[in-house]
Amino acid sequence: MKLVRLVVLTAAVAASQVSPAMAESLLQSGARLAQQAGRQLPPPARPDVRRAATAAQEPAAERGMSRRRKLFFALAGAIGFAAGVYAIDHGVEDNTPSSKGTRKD
Amino acid sequence: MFGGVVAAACAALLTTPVAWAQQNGGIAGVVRDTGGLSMPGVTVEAASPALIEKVRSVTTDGEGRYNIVDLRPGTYVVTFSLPGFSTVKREGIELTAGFTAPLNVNLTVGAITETITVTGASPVVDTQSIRQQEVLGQKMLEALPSGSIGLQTLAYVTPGFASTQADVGGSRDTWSAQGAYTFFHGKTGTRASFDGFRNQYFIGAGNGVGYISDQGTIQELQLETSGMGAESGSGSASLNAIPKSGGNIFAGGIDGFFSGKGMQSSNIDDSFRDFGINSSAEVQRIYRLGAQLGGPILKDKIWFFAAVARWGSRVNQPGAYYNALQGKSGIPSVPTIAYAPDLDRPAASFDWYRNHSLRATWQATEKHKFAVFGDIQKSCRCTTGPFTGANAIESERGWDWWPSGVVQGTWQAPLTNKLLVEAGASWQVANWVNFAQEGVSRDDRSILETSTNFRYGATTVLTAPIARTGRSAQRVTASYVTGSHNFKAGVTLEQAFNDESRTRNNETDGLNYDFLNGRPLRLQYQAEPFLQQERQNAELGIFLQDAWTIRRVTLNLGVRMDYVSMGFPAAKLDAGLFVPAREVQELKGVPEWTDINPRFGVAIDVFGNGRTAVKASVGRFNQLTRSDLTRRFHPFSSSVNTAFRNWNDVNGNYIPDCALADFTANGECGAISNQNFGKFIPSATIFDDSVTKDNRDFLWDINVEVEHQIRDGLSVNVGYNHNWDGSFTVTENTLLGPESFDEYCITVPNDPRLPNAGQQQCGYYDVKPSLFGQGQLRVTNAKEFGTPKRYWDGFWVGMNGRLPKNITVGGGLDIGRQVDDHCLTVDMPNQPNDITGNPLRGGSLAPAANAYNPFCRVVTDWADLMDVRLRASVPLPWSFNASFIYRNTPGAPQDATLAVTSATVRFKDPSRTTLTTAQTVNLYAPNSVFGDRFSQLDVAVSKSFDIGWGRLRAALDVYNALNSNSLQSVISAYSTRWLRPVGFLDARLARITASINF
Repeated sequence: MKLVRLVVLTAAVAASQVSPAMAESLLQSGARLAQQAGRQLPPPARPDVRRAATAAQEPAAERGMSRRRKLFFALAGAIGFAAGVYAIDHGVEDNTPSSKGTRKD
Repeated sequence: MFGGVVAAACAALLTTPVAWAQQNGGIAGVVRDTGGLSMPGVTVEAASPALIEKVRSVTTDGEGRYNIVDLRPGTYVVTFSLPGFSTVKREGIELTAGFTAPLNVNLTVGAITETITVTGASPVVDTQSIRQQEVLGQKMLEALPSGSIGLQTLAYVTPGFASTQADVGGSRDTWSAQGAYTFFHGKTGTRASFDGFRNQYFIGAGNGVGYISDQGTIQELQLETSGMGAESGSGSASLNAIPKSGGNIFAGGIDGFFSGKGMQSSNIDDSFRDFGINSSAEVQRIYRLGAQLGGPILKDKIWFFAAVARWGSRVNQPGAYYNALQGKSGIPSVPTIAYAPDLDRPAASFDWYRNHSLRATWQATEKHKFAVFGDIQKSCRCTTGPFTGANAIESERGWDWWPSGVVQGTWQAPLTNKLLVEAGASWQVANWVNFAQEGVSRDDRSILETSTNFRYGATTVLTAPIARTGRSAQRVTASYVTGSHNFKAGVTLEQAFNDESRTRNNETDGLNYDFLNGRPLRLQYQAEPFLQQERQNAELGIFLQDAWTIRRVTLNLGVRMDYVSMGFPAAKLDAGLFVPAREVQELKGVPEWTDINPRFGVAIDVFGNGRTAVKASVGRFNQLTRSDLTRRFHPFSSSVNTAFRNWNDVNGNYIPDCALADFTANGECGAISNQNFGKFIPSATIFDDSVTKDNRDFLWDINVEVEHQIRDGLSVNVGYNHNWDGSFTVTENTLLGPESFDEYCITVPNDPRLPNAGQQQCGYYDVKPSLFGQGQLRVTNAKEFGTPKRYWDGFWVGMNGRLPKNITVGGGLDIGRQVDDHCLTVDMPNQPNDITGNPLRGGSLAPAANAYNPFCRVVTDWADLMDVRLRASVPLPWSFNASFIYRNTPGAPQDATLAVTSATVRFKDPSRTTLTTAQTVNLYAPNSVFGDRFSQLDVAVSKSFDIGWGRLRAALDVYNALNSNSLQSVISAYSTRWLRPVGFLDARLARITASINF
C-alpha cells in the first residue's frame, strides 16, 4: 500500500503545474516565484510533444534571461548542491581505514 | 568540504561528447548527378555543434564516393556542393558511436548558391561496418530506468549478455554492477573501457572495473559484441563509456535520485518461507546527488566540463543479521566459535562513492585538438561480495578505495582532408585496501560450517595492508581515407601492475577453521606473510586494416600483431610461523607471447539504397590480458601457499592441541594435505615453454548477419554466431597418473529431485594414500593429453530504431548452445584441472570449485540459454515520457554437490576404506539443470517542465515492476539447505529521480 500511495502522490506531483502546497517541490516554487518576479510567466502548458522536445534540447544560455538572474540561479544551485554534498559526506558512515588514519600501506 | 568547494564552481550539464576515433561514427556514400553518373570533386561538409572545429570536409573521389570518419556522436548537417550544381543540404543525420551512416545524394544542375534542403529519417543500417554493437545515446540513458547508468545499462538491454547479479534500482553495489560480468556468447571476459582506454583492474581475471565512472559524465554507451576489426585486441565483448565534453555555450545541471524505506514491496512467498527466508532485501537508502557544468573558456578554442557526484546504497539483506555470539566464546584464541542471528541487528550491503572530474578540450590550431580528463575518487565498497546474506556479515570485508582515479589525454589532427592522425594516453590507479567488518577483532577466525557451507567469524582473507593496481596505455593511429578506402594503421601499448599482500584476520597463527555440525573438522593454513606482485611490461598491438568499398561491397581486411610480455619485480618476504624467508629476483618474459591475428569481413549493401545489409566476419583474437597470466609463474604464488589438515578436537576445547608447525600427524591434528606447504620451493611448480613462450589462449569468432530497414528509422536483424576457444593450460602432477587413483562410489541421497536417487554412483577418484601430498606440479598445454573444447553456436533476431513521434525501441532474442568438453585424463581420469586448480573448461559457467566431477562433457542447451530483452521509450502528451526495460533470461543453475567422508563412500578396491581427506563431489553434471527463468521489468515515467531558465525533469522509476522473485543463485551443497535461494531479485522498488538542466 505504501508503494501505491507513493505512485499516486508522485503522479499527482508530476502531473500538476498548479501550486498546491503539497504538490509542488521547492525547486518548482523557486522557479515560479522567480518567473513571477520577472513578469515572465510562461504560457499555459499545452499537450505539444514537439514543442516540449524542442524546449528540452534548447540550451538555457540561449534563452532570454538577464545575466543577473542567470547568475542568481547558478549560485543558488551551486550553494544547494554544495550543502547536499556536505550533508552526504558527513551523514554517511565512513569506516574506511583511510578516513580513520589507520592505513598501513 | 573539498566536494563542496568544487561543487560551488559547478552546476550544469553539457552534452557534447568526445570520443576516440575507435568509437566514433562516420558518414559515407556516393554522389551522382540526376543521370546516375558518379560525380568526382564534390565538396562534402559535415557540421555539428558536437565538433569544436565546427565542420569536417572531404571531396568525392573519381567514383563519386566520399567517406568522413572520426565524427563524434551528435546530430549532423551534411552539405554537398559543386560549382554548376545546386547545393544539397541533408539535415538531421544522427550519429552514434561506431555507426557509419550511409548517405547517397543526387545533385542537379543549378547555381551553387541555390540550396536544396532535404530532411528525412536518419539512416539506421550501417552498410559498411561488420561490427555488431549496441549503443545507448544520451536521450535513452536519460529515459530508460537504470539503477546505475553505466556498463550495467548496456548489459541489461543487450540480448545474450549475462550479468552475475541483477540490480533493482541501484540495490546492487556499483562496482560489481558496472564490471562484474561473466560472458557474452560463452566468450571469456568482457572488456570495459572509458573513452576507449581499457578500464579494468589488473587483478586475476581482470574483469573488475578499475575506474568507477560518474554517470553524470557519460554521454553515450557502446557495446561491441562481435565482428571487431583489427584495431581491437580482444574478441570479448567490449563495453565503452564515451564521456561528455564542453561546448560553446554554458550549460549544466544538477541531478539526483532517492529511494528508501517504505518505497519497496515484498516478494516473499511460501517457496521462500519454506527455507526460512521471511524477508527480501530491504532498501534502507539508494541515493545520488550530482552536478555538472561545462562551457567555453574561449569560444571555439577551449571547452571545459566538470562534474562532482556522490552516490551509494545501504540494503538490508534477506535473513542476514549480525552474529549475536561474535566474540563471546570465552576462548581468547577463538573469540567466536558459533553463529546465532541477532534479530535486532539486520546486516546490510553498503557502498558509497565520491567522484570529482574535469575535462578540457583545446582546439589549438585549425588542425590540432587536445583533450585531457581527470577524475579523483574516494569510495567504499564496504561489504565486498557483494554481500547477499549467504554468509555472515562478519565474513565480509570492505574495500577502502583511496586514492583512486584516472587521467587521460588525447590529440587529434586531421592533417589533410584524407589523413587523420591521433594519439592518446591514459593512466589509472586504484588502491583498494581491505578492512574487517564492524565487531570483528583481530583474534577472530573465519569459520566454515561445511554442512551448510555457511561462513562466519571473519573474512577468509584480507588483501591488506597493500592493495593497489593500475594500468597505463598509449596509442597512436593514422587513418588515410578516400571515398573507397578507409585505411588505418596503429599501435597500442599498455602496461599494468598489481601489488597485493594477503593476511588472515587472525594475526597470531593465521589459521581458519572448518567445522562440521559445529565441531572442528579441519585447520586451514596459509603462508604468511604474503605479497603478490605482477607486471605487464608491455602489451603491444600493431594493426593494419582497410575498409575497401567496391560498388555495393565493403571488404574489411585487417591483420594484427599482438605481443605481450609480463613478469614480476624483485621482492623479499620475511619468515613467518610456517614459512621461511623468501626472495625472488626480477623476472620478465613470463609469459612472452606473439600472435598474428587475421580479421576478415564483408558487408554488402544489397540493393544499394542503404536499407539492407548482409554481413559476415571471421577473426582470430587473443583473450584479454589479465594478471593471472603471469601470477601463475611467480614463485610466491606457485609455491604451495594453502593447505589443510584434519582436526579431531578430542577434548572439545576448540583449540587444536598439536604442534601446528609440525606437519606430520600429531596430537589432534592429521598430516598436512600437501607436504610442500611451508617450504619455499620456486620450482615446486614447473612451467613448460608451451605455456611461457607459446600457445597464448585464443578465440575464433564467426558471424553472419542480415540487417534490414523495414521502415524509416527502424531496422531488424538476424544473425548466427559460432565461436570457439583454443590453447588450454592444465596442471599435472609429475608423480601421478591414472593408476595413482582409486575409484570410489557414493550413494546418491534418496531425494526424488536427484537423478539416480538412492542408487550408487561411481566415477569419483581419490589419490592413493601413499601418494597423498607427493609429487611436483607441471603446467603445460592441454594438447599433450587431449583436445579440450569450448564452443558456442547461437542465433539472434533483434530490432532497433526510432518510430514516429520519437518512439524508440530495441531488443531481441538470443539463443545459443555451449559445449564444454574436457574428457581427457591429466592425472585423475577425465578430471583435468586448469592452472587455478578448478576443473578445466573454457567458458565462465564455472562449476563448484574443486568439486570432484565425473561429468567431463557439459552441454548447456538451447532452451537453457535463450535470452530476451526489450526496451522502449515513448513520449506522451503534456511532456510525459514512459519507458521500460524487460529481461527474460536463463534461470539460475541448480547444481548439486555432496560433502563425502570415508564413512559415506565405497571404494571399488575393497581393500581401501578411507579417503585421504573429506571431499566434495558433483551429484550430476554442473550447469545442466536450471531453475525457472529469470524475469525483470523496470519502468519509468517522467515529466519535463519548462521552468523558463531551464528544464526540470522529474521521474518515477519502478524497478521489478512485476515484483518477480526470480532466483539468481541457490545453494548447491546438498543438505537441508540445498536449493535454498542465495541471490534472488529484490522486491519491487520505487525511485524518484529529478534533474534540472539549464
